[in-house]
Amino acid sequence: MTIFIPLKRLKMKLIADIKKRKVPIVRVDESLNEYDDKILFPDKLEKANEMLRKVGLPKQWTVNGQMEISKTNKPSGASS
Amino acid sequence: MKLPKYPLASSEKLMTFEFISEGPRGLIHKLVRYQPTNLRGVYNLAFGDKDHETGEIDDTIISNNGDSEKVLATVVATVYAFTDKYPDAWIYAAGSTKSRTRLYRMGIAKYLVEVKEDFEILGERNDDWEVFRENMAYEGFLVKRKSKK
Repeated sequence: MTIFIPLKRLKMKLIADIKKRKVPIVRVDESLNEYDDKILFPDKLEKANEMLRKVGLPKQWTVNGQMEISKTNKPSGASS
Repeated sequence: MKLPKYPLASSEKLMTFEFISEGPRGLIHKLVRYQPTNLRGVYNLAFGDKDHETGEIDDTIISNNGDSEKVLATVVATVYAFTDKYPDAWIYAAGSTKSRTRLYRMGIAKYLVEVKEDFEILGERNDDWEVFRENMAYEGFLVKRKSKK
């Protein structure tokens, strides 16, 4: 049996489904790639590094309370 | 979060996100950046206004565009997008000023029930980490995506 759904209703449902998503649909903008290699907010990053040096990570969630020091500062564990 | 959010654009690696805030002060370009720290797998979340002409970013400006909840919801959306791609990443966030950190705390507290479904959230206090509690003054926050079941 064929069910016909009016296109307008289908579009509205699609928009509603998109709005409910927790993981957003993101448009890739290649002009933003240049920021990936820039250190923005260096003071803030230094503050974060200082805090991580002092406090470390939650011990119950790391192996022996240790995390590997990054040599390359490149993202790791990308899922795809 | 089923809250209104702005449309997002990102770099190919999903390390940098941009959206445009709309309000009484006009269109303000916002940038969210996940910056690798000295610890592998730990990223600092930084967020500021982008000067559309020069491309310079300012994380101290208070733009007051009347849409702070929508902006916050959009920043949270970037956390979902980033951790979807990097599921093992830790994200550290602290405001550039104490009042901003307090704003982040209030934002987390407001949506805590929802966000806790998907993230472990810790607050930094007295040089140590503890599970985030409402009404506690924290200096920073650490967030990790929960493993999918």
